[in-house]
Amino acid sequence: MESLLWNYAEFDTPEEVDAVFRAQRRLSIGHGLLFLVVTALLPVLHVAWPAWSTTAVWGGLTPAFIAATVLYPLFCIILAASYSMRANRMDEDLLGRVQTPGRAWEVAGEPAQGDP
Amino acid sequence: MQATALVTTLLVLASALVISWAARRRASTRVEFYLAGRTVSAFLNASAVCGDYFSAASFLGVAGAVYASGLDGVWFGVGFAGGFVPLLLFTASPLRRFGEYTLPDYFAARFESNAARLVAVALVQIIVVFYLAPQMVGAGTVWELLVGRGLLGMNPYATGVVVTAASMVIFSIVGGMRGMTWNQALQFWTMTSAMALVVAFAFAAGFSYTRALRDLSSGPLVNPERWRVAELQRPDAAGVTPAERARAVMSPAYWERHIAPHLDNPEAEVVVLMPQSSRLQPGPAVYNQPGHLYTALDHASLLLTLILGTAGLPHVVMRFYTSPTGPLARRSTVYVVLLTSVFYWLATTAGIAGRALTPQAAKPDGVALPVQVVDGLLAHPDQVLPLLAQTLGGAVLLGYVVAGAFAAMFSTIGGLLLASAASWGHDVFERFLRPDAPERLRVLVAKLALVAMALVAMAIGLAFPRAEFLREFPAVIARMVSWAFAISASGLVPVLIVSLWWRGATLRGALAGMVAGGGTCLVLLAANLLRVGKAFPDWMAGLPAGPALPTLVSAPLAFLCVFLVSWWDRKNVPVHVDEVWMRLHGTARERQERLLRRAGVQSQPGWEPL
Repeated sequence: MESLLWNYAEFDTPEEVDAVFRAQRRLSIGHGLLFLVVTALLPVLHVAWPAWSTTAVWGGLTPAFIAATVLYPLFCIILAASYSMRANRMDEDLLGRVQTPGRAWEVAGEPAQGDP
Repeated sequence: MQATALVTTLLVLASALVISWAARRRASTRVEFYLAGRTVSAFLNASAVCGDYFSAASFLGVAGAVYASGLDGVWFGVGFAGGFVPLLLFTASPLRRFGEYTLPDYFAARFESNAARLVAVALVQIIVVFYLAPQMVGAGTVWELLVGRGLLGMNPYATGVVVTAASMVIFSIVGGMRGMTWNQALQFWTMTSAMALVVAFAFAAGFSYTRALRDLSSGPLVNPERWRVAELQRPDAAGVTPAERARAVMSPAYWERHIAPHLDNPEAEVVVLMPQSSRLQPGPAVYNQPGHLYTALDHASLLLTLILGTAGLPHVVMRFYTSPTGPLARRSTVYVVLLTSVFYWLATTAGIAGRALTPQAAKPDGVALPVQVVDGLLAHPDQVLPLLAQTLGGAVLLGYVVAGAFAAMFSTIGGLLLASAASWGHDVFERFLRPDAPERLRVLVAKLALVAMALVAMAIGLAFPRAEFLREFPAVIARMVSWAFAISASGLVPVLIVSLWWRGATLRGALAGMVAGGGTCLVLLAANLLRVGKAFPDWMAGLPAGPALPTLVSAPLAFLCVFLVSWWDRKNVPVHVDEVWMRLHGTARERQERLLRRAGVQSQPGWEPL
C-alpha cells in the first residue's frame, strides 16, 4: 500500500505556479489596499472631520469610538475570513495534478486520458 | 491577598510543568523541539499564537492605556489586533510552504547568501532583546505588586525576574515547542477568561459602557502627574501656576491632607491630578476623543508600527512554521484575528470600567494592594486590572487575574526564548560552526542557547534602570514592546514581503533594505531616547522632533531601498528563483503529504516534513 502511494506524485509545473502566484498576488494586494485605505482613514478622519470624534451618538459613544472598538475589528475579521476562503479556493482550483505510473498527467478530480 | 496570589502563581507554574513533562518525549529532534513536528491544528495554533503574542503589555497595559487615555489608549489594542491582517495577506502561507525553521533561514535560502542570514540573525536578536527586556521588567514588577514577597534573600522585584527566567528555561527545555504550544494555548485561555470575568463582574456591578463613557467625557481628562514643588508653583505665560490648575480639579480634602503640607519645600516631589491637553487641537483632552497621546503623525506612526511589525516578530513567525500546511496557516491566522479582536475588546471594556468604578473603590483605606491612589485615580494605570478584580471579586478574582498576568508573561517569554535559541542554534551553530553535527548535538546546542538567552534576559531584567525609565515612560512595558515592533516593521517586514511576492528582489536589494530600514529605525529610536533623556548633543538640538515611533520614515525607506537597489542590480536576480517560487507558491508537496497522511503513512526516508 505504502509503496503504491509513493508512486503517485503530486506535481506543479512552473507555469502553473506562476499563474497561481500572480492570481494570489492580485488577491493579496487587492485586500491589502482595502485594509490600508480603511486603516489610514481612521487617523485622517480625526483631523479632517471633527464631528467624527466629538458628536456623541449613543451615551458617550462617538463615531470614532464605535469605529475603533467595534467596526474596525469587525472589518478585520470579515476581510481576513474572506481573503482566506478565496485564497484557499484559488489554490485548489488552479493547482492539483498527480502523475501515476504508466498513465498520463491528470488533474485531480477529473478523468485522466484513457479513462472511460 | 499575598497568599492567594502566591497560590495561583504556583498553580500556573505547576500546570506548565505538567504539560511540559507530558510533551518531553516529543522534543528529541530539531523539527519536534523547534516546530512541534509541524503538526499543530489550526485552532490550537491560533490559541498558542495569541498566548505567544499577548504579553504583559497586552494583559495589563492595554486596559491601563484605555484607563489613562480613553480613545487613544484603544488604538494600542486595535493595532495589535490589526497586525495579523498583513501577516495573513502576505506572509503566513508562503512562508509556511517554504518550510524552514526561522526567518534568517528563509532569507538565506531565498537569496542563497549567508550574509542575508547573518543580517537577519542580528535583527532577530535585537528584536528579541527589545521584546524580552520589558517582559522581564514586567515579571519583576508584577511579582512585586501582586505577590510582594522576596525569596532567598532577594527583593520582590528580583525574585520575580529570577523565578520567571528559571521557570521558562525548565518548561522550554523539557517540553520544546510541543509543550510550549500546549502551554501557550492554556495560558491564552487563562488570561482571556480572567479578563472576561473581570468584565462580567463589572457589568454585574451596574457598569454601563455608554453611560460611563458619557460621564467620563463630560469634562477635561485629568491624570496623576509627578511634579517638583518649585515647578508646580511657577506661573506660566498666562500667569497661572500648575498648582492652581491642579487644585481646580482635585478635591479640597485630598489637597489639604496630601499636597499642602509639602508646598513649603521647593525640592519636594508631589503627585497631583492635572488636566491634560489635547495634542490634536488647542484645548483640553477629552476621554472619548483622540488627542491625549498622539498627534495625527504619531497616530499614523503607531498604527503603521503595530500593523506592519507583527509579521516580522520572530516568535510569532515561528509559530506559523508549526502549521501542517499553507491553508491551515491561513485558517490559524483568521482565528487569531477573531481571538485578538475579542480579547482587546474585553481589555478596552475593562479599562473603561476601571476608570468608571475605581474612584469610589480606590480610596486609600479600601485598597489592600500596594497601589498608589491619587485622589481616586491610580498613579500607575497598569494596575487597573488587579485593582478592579480585587474591588469587584475579592481575593479569588484577584488571584485569577494574577494567574492571567503570569500566564501572559510566561507564554511570551517562552516563545521569545525559543525563537532566539532557534536563531543561535540553527542559524549560527548548524550553518557556520558545525554543519556536520549529529542531531542529538544540534538539539543539545539549541537547549544550551536557550539557557544562555534566559541568563541574558535575567541580567537585563535585574540591571534595567527601572526608575529612570518609569519617570519618562509611565507605560514602559507597552512603549518598549512598540520599539521591538518598529525594528521588525522597518528591518525585516519590507524585505520579507517584497522577496515573497517579487521575483526581481536581489541579494543586494535585500541587504540594502534590511540595513537601511533597521539601521534608520535604531538611530531614530536612539535619538528619541536621547531627546527624552535630555542627553541630545548640542549640534542636534535644533532638529525637529519626529514622531514617537520612527516607522513612518524607516519602513518606507526600507521598501524604497529594496526596490531601487534590486532594480539597479537586476542582472543578479538569483538563478534558482524558479525553484524558490515552486516552494513558496506551489502546493504539490503539501498535497502529497496530505495524501500520505490520509493513508496513515507518516514518513519515508528522505521525506521529512518541511
